[in-house]
Amino acid sequence: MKTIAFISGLKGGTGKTTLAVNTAVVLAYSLRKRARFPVVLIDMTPGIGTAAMLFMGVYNAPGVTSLSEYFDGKFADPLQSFYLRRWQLQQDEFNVVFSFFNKPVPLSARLLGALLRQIEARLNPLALILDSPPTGYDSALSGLLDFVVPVVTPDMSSITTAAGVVKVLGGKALRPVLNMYVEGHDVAPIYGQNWPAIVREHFGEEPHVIPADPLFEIARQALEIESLKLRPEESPGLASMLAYMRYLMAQLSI
Amino acid sequence: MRQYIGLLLTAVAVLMLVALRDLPFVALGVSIYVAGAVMILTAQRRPAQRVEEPRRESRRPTPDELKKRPIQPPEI
Repeated sequence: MKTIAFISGLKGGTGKTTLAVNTAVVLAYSLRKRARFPVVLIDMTPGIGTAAMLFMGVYNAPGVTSLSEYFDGKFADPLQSFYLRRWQLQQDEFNVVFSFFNKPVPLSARLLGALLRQIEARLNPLALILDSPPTGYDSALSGLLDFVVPVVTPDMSSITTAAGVVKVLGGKALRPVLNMYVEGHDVAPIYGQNWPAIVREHFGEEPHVIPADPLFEIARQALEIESLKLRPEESPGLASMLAYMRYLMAQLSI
Repeated sequence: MRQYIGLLLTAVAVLMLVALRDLPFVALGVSIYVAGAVMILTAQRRPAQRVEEPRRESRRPTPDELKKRPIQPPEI
């Protein structure tokens, strides 16, 4: 099982959930014949997060058990808070197993590590995707990750906080994603260089640029997953995101 | 087009003024000449307009339309 976290440091709203959810769906489809449950996703945002909303297809889920109750000691088996989302395509089907936190709970690397070991032993997925909440230097994820995907927006605070946190999380830092980029917005007169160069300077690697795409906003308003409803030829954001996933799959080598 | 009609009117007016000397015809010829001249001058004052290619912008789906779309295989 390869553990991948999408992180943005302390900055929210950078699009890491969009990337995490679409990565989970694309990987699950690609690996559907390789494992019964190829991908598990945990939405670590306290309170029902967007990833859980997208998988459930509803914007609230009162009374649904989550990992918060498990870590609160309300039940002993963490799998009671995992759910299966299955998609049917003509003569084919694929699924993603997911869970979430419906309220904040104290977490440590030891508790999370024990959960990840249970997931690996009982579901045996090929990939575990963590949609990280805004994360500081004392993250419980430290030391548990195989891969880290930093997701930043064209904003100096987003870039600096993500670049700082990536260094302490452990795992292999993959190409940073510069999300929601508008090419025409020239900031070189202000910062001396444009956003891709600023990201490269902070992360030491050329970023993968995903352009701002109004169709992503429409998909989010519809509570739909972009890679299942949009076509790459109509959505430059999706086309670029799929290109990043090809790179990600090559890195995971699964 | 307006300036061509104006030109035609002024030409007719000149012919009338050359051929006919009675006061009503002279008055009519002068009127036609003035009308033709006004048409020529106002047509010339219009600024040239750039013909722009119509923008081919595909309409974005609404959230509801997107919701109703069938799912497609998420291939990379």
